[in-house]
Amino acid sequence: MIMQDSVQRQPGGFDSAASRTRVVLALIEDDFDSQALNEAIKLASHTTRFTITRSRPEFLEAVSSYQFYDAGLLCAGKGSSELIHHVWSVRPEFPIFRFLGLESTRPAAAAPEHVVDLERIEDLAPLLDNRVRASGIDHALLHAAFHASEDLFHQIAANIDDMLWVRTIEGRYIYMSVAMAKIFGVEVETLFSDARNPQLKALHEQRRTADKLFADAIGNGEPFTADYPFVAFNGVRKTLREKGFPIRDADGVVRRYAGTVRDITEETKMAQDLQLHSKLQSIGQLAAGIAHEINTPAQYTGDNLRFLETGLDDVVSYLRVVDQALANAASGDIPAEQVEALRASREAADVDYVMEEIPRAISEGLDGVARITTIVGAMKEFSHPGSKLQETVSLNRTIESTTVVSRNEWKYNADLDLEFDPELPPVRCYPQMISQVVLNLIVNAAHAISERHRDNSTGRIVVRTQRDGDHVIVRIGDNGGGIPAEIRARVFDPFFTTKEVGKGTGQGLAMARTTIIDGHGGTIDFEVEENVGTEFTIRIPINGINSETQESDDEH
Amino acid sequence: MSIDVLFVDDDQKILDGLRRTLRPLRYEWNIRFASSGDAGLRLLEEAPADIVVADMRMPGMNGTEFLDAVARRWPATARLALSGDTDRDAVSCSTAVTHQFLSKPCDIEMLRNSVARTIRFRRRIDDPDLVALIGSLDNIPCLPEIYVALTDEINSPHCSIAGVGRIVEQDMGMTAKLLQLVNSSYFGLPNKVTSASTAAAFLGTETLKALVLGLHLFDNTGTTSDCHIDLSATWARSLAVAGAASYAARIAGMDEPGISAAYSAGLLHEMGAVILLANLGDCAAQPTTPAEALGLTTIQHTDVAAYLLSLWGLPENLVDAVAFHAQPAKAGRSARLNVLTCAHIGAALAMSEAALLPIELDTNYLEQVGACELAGAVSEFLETQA
Repeated sequence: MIMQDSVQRQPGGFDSAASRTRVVLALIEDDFDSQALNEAIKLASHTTRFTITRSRPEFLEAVSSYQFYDAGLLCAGKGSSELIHHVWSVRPEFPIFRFLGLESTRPAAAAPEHVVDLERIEDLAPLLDNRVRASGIDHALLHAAFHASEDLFHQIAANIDDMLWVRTIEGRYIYMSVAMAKIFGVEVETLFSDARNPQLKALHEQRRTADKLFADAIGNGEPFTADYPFVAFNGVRKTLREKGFPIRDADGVVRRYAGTVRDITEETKMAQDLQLHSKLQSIGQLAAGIAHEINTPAQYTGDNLRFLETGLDDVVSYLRVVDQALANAASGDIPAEQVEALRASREAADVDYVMEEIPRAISEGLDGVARITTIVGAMKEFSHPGSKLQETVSLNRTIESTTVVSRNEWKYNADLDLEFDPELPPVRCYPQMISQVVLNLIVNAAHAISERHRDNSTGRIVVRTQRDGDHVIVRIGDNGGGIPAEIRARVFDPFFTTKEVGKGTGQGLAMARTTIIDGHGGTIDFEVEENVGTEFTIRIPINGINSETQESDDEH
Repeated sequence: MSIDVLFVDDDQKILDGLRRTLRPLRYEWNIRFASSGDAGLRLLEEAPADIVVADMRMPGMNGTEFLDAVARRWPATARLALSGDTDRDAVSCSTAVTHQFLSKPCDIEMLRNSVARTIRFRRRIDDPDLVALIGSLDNIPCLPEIYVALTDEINSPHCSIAGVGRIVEQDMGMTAKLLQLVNSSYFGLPNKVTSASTAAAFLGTETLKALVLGLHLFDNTGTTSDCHIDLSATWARSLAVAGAASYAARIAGMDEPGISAAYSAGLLHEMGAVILLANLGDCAAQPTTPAEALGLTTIQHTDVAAYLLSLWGLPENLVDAVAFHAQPAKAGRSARLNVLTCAHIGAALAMSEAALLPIELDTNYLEQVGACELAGAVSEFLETQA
């Protein structure tokens, strides 16, 4: 399954007439890659079929994998004795011919016994014939069958959307589909070159995430799967889903890993769009309530300011009369009619009322501005599109903001108490998703309560946070009577809803479950106290989900 | 004579703010505050109010429920909503029990003007039963043919807002109701809308469809037909006066809102008569004419229309034109050529034989506002039309 570079291949693949053709696995290293050599090989191809490899690892891989080469031909420079030894250790019966080639590249040491040195390529054919006759195996037949099988494989690999790879357990790529090589911006041939090849180094750099998965999996021979972001050679950002699995030999020993890589950029984008859509939808649904929450303090802030304006005008006009009286007092007695005017002016200015009300008018006006500021701030936090990466946040604050923006959804039905653990450590999570889940649970609780209690005085929602070892727990409880027994098993099902058409999509809890379990590696469940209420419990790890996609710690 | 106003809001800070800012009106208004619907009803039991101004979203009894209770028990009391709601559906739903919808935050001047305008024409009606009747109306009967044409249009796949506009501006019930809805401060339009087709265009076909078919915005019960009174002449005259008044406005060089106000005033100028006839109860068993039937009452139908339209918060120039179209000199404002002038000319000249009350051109008034030539032009126009 290596990338074959057949110098000549008969059209139609398998052909019994080719059975007299000999099949040679050749290694041509750079030093030998000359016009003359290629010409010689071409001439020799009349009687011999060559599969040419360009690197020693590739050559060794082929030698150890396939049984259907009649012989090996080395056109290799320095260290070829070492290579020969290596081949011998893997397949001692495999005949090796060594082309001596140029003077400069001639090996210093004489060939080992089982190796035949060739001065000329043309000498190969007759020598080979003798060897093959002796072995009696029709390697050409095998070779043709191999090519037919390989053709099939290549056509499949080239036409499926997934990308394919095969690696040795040492991590060397021995196969990579053209589509995959393309997306990683390497040429397939590069895979078999020296590890110091810059393209190969760049590939490993790009596949760092995948390599780490691979390295982890190789230890125990387990399959692995992961999604990770990736920037293609042309700069396009993609999300890839990689799955690897071990390939075992007849003895069950893991010899290689194979894997598929799928471009899930579109899928991921759709999932994110859906998430964003549900976010926007809930902002839309909350908008009317938020506007109401803002309009109310705007009304009384405006009223109080207006009161201060007119009240101060009146008081100032009274003070003018007082000043006049003072001036008169300095120069003598105040005439009786002026005292009367003072009294009338004081009455008209409603001084007592204004003085009594000013402090509260100011404090309530300020209170209104503070309320508006709080709501706008919470809205900003809630509607923030959020990072694609996990953030380390104060979960208490995230939850509090959510209760503020949703206040209009629950305040007519229930009191909402926050019982936060003040010592709660910062939590690494996707805060936007958590707030969405909390919102869903609070709105559901308010709905349950509104169906049970017409009078708001008895409705109660309690939101609690606490630490539990390396997890945090968020509980959202209500006294809405509890989820009826007959539907408890279905509340997390997508599209399951008890709300009237148009009121609920049935997605809230299904999405909450996905968010908590898949998105955060946590758990979500609920307990019902019969005829009292329901309490949902969310449990997520403080340090976030172990995700290989997480590259930087914090994106603040 | 102070105005009794009751404010109901669950937020004490809102009530405190209103109490302070309305303090300068303490000699003009007698103001009471209630922090819940129940408390509000108890205060009304002690003494009724001229106007209630209620929040819509309240725990327990919400604003709609409260105003509904007020409408049943104290129909003469004007019902205003003062709400922070921005949800169109909520606003549209509350039109059945709410005369006017004011949005929070509402400037105190606006609140004050709204209250003053709302009951401006009420003291002209002596009969408390009639005040109660007008207060309890949430609709004016539509002409059945026009109602059918409207439902056909909005159910049609080719429904266009222009088509809807052409239909609604022929009917006084639809015109009055649409103008009430769109002029509510919720919609936040900077200028008052005086044209039913503009109002329809503003709502859009989908909202209108929901309002007409789902919420029965318009009254299609055809109450008047039970009374053996043939109103077709009244409707024909309304359209004729509307046409003449808008022609006058155009000739006088008024802007589009002015022209449409003149048209709507013409259309609505005898609306009070329709209200009275529709609510005569057991009237003549034999067929009779509107004028004969109206003879049973001594009430000025223009006052009825003026009170209803001001209660519904329609634009002031339009209400004035309806109120004083027969006697424009009594409008008591600085006399100048305006929508009222056009409505007066139209009402005096177009199909005058069908008028429920005899109206003659007030030449002194016309001279005063410099509209004698205008009246002549309208007269000529009507002759060529005939």
